[in-house]
Amino acid sequence: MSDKRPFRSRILGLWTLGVYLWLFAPIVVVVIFSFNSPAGKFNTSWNKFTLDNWAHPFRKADYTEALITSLQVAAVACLVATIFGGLMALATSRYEFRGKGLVNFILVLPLTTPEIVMGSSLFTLFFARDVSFGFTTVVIAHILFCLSFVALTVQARVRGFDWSLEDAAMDLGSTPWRTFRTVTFPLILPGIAAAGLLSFALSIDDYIITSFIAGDQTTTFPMRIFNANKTEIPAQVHVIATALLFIAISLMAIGAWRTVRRNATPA
Amino acid sequence: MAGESSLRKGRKAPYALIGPGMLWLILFFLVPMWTLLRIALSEKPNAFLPDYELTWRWANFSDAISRFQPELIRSFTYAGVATILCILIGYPLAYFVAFKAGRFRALLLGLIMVPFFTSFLIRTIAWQTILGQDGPALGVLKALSLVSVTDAIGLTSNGAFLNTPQAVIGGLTYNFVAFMILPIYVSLEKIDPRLMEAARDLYSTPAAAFRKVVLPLSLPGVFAGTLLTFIPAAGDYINAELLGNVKTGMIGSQISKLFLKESNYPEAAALSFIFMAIITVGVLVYAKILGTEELSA
Amino acid sequence: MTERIDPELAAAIEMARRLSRRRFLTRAGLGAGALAMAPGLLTACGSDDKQPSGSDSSGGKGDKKLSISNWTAYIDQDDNGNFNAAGTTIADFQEQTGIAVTYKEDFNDNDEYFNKTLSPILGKGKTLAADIFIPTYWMAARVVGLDWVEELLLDEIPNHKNLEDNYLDLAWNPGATKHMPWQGGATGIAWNPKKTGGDLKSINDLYDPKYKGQVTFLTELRDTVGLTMFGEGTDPSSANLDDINAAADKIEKATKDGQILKFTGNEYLRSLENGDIAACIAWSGDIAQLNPELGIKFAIPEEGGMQWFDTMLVPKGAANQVAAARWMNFVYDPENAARISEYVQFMSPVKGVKEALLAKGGDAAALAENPLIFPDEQTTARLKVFGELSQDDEIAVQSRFNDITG
Repeated sequence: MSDKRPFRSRILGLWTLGVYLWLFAPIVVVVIFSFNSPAGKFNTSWNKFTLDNWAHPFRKADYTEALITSLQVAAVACLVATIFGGLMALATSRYEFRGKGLVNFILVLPLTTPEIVMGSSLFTLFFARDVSFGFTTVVIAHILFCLSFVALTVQARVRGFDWSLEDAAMDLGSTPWRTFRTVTFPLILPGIAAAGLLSFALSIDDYIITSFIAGDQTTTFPMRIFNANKTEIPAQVHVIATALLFIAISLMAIGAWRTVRRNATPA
Repeated sequence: MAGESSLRKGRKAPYALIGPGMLWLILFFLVPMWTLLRIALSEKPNAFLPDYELTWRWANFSDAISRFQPELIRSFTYAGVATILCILIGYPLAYFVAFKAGRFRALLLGLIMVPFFTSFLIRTIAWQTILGQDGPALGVLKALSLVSVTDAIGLTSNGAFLNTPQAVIGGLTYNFVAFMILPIYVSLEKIDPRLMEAARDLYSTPAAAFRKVVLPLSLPGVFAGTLLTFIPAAGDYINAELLGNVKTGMIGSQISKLFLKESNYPEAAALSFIFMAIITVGVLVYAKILGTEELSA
Repeated sequence: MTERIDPELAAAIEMARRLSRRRFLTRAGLGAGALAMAPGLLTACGSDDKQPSGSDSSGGKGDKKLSISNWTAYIDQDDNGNFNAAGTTIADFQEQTGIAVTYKEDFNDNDEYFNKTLSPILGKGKTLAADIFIPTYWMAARVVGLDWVEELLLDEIPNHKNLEDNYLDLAWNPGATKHMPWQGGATGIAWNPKKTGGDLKSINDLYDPKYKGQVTFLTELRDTVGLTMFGEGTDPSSANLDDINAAADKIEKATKDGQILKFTGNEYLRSLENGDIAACIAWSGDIAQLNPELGIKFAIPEEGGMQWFDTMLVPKGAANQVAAARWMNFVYDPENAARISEYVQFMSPVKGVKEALLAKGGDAAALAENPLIFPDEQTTARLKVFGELSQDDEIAVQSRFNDITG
């Protein structure tokens, strides 16, 4: 770096700051409105400050139930997608095999498919095969759209790794399983963790695909909000959203802190 | 070369690893696409009953095109503008985080993801509050008497933010910008610092060094980001529904209406395929343009 | 790690270019390729039937449990939004009958419920999770016509006698043996006086250029087209296709001119509350439920208003038909019906509700005098039900309307 701090760099910094403000503008609104006591049924225009919503975050049983459903779906989908996708990424980035190009191609396809098309195609499949819509179909769909994200994220992270480390371990007499545990897995772990987090976020946020295949018994949190937002938006929605946000930030802070500590101690 | 013992030379291992995932993709992605295609060529003898017959009715496609041309054009226009905005907004940010953020890099990167842990619907509803007639954004403009200015430059329509095409494009940009920032960041982060040093030595201005080195190396990120932004944005209809007006309907809502309002599965399926076909062609053309630009760089 | 240590710029750029182009190619094939591949892959997998935890339809005479799918904000609840808190209709029903109720507010839209739920499930001869669902009259007529409902167990419903007489002679189910109305209502116009500056009288006021871009209409075909037909001087109950199309023309033009901002479901409520619109087509009970401090007004247009009702149906093969019948009997008790009316403020189809409200006194008695809940004869005379359309006409009109609503 040169010592004169260039003007350009400051503009870039200001721009970044502006973008972050824009990114967080609606989040600030959500947090503020979690302390609002709405005049009507919609917690969308400011009335007066209250702590009441926070005292009773689960007052709206429907929303709580939908949130639990969403968390369950996200947990299963995230776990399965991370395992399946991680294995696929491992295969495509570490091995040369026939049909690899085709696998990569099929892996990318879901990402290039608009949600509405994926939702309607799954709807027609389950429909044509007489599968009843519900929790299972929702989980199936969520695993599907998370899968490609996971595989490609992990692939991107491990691209350029020196896989000969594995060979070295094997040469030193390590068993394949031990090699995987002590060499391979630590290498891919950060990618896996990032992919898992991403797929959890994708799953818990999906509305379009889910709404097509949820059937009449399963309601996820986004569905509940979308359905209800026509007749009411209770402050509990804002409270739950704020709480989820807080949990996410905390997890991230813990992660960041651990990285800092790891970097601080000499390797 | 490590001989027999190399994990990378297995014959069956890779197939075992991809097995479960591939099975999933085939069963729940390729097969449904196939079913959808069959339905796109079918007829429903009775619209209210769930049965359909494969009659190779290609007219489903032409019907859908002639009926939904405006929405098709609109979807791609909005998604295109939103994607360009995402690049303009996201690239500098990704650049800053990758090269200028120093020890705050991880933090800044994490912060990009944070808003996306609140539900997409809740964020969009919050935008409704911000942009509404009695909301803060318009309040500031009114206090500064700037509404006529923003009207003139196209930021508002008839003195309103909400329920305008601008709001829809803004919403799309907002909701998908993270998918632009992250791939660009990944491609920038991978650039070898020694390469950048060499570039600075070789080229007279930082701008030239950026143009000749950093930009070409980050193009794969821009390309991936464009796909991840443009495609979902073109297929989205929640933003149009919540932030737009009657003239901002996008293709997603038409497909869903055909399915869910008119019980017309064949035409809905046909429209889905038309939509995907256009995206495919668009992506090919885009890849071509980006590829040739790189050649001339 | 070891990649790209070559400081030679040209080589690096060349490498990057090749790399990215290769990646372009792998990603570029997309849809077309998928189609070509699908047939071969398809043979690899058979049908993947899964029977989920759906209700078992043996007998269908269950009387221990009951599952109801209803619209949002359509039954009394406590301040916390709990439907089964002590003192609510559902809690009392559970206490008196020992039947455990699962009450879901998942009925959002007649067509969506039909296509997402009814058609895929009932149309395939399977059973719904819900024992009672509550579509609007025209959808109920369609579902009854398709024979996707059960006859009500009238022996369990002595209060069937409390059903208002005008519901007994509907062409699609004379005697109301397959459905029992939940609530009725009127469709009229609502406005925010702070934005309009005065009161509206006619449906054509919504077409006044003064309110350009500040008006919303309903996505419900029969309400929007019906009211416009009144404004045109034609009769919405006749279901005359020419008249319907003329009204659709008028709506289409207003949409193109930017007069109509949006077509909405209940979400017009929020736009009215937040001041984003000046006036709209609205449902009577929605406005009656609003906080009076907001000052939103509602009227049946002078030309006339649309009348409608939502009605309880028991889907074919429902597991708990006895419980369903007991529920209907319970909510057709005037006292219980009055409690629901007090909360939802639509028009009750149950005889004796007005008297029950008057007997309660206070706020409840005031409701008994509310012409939107108990319309006087003059108002009733101005209300009409949209005429019945044949299936083909319905689809044609609906798809034209969908094109207009964007």
